[in-house]
Amino acid sequence: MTDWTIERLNNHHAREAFCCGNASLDAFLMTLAGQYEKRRLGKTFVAVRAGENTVCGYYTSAAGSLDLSALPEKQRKKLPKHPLPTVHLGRLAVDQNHQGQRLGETLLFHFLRSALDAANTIGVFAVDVRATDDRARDFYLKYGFLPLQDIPLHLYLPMRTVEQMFDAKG
Amino acid sequence: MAEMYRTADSKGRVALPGFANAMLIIEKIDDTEYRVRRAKVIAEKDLHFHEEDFPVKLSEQDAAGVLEAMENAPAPNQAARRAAKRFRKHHD
Repeated sequence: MTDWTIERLNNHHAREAFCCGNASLDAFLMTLAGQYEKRRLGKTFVAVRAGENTVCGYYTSAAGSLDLSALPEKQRKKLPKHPLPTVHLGRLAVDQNHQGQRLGETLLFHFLRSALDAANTIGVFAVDVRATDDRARDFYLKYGFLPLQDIPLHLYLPMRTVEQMFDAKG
Repeated sequence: MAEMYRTADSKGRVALPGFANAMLIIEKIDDTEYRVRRAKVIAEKDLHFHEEDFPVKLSEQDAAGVLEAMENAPAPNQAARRAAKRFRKHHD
């Protein structure tokens, strides 16, 4: 298994040649990730090989929320009136030259660990993600993410489940 | 991988079949190697970001499912436990 270093995106990272096979994900990294950073709308983490600066994969995280207001009044009684807070996995992509090396898994678990750390200081109910397609959805399902029935590409995982994953006894 | 042989002209230019007028991504691997790929160009205004659909308003059925998961969170599956273990081994 390749030893990846995962770092916060900065100006020294080479990302011009990044190509994951999804033009939207490539364009985000090249043109918008920096703006999201500056405005604190999303934090982007990149995977590089030790001692190198070429981006081999990345993910972006941000605050998210799930609106449960469609529940009947009786079921809503125990819930706050506002949406439930989540940590949202905005994007996760791996360069085509590095696919099949468990880099997607490494990035996902770096995100989950970071979300768990955040949940120790702020209220977070779950992590959630919008998969780009069925293949990506299968990737998240493999690790136990729960799909929404009426928004099939949107999945979530309760923070309590994440906590158990990283339990030292696990 | 099929190899092609071309002689660069005095300015280092070569002709690549199938790449005429294409937007290219040229990656320098080292002083003797470049990787050339065709790029797909999308206008920035045509990019759709799923954040534009936020907040995520759930149906009654999905909201009930989330409520159930809140009260009875599922245990992580074996794939997740193994992946977390691999992650801890390399990154803790």
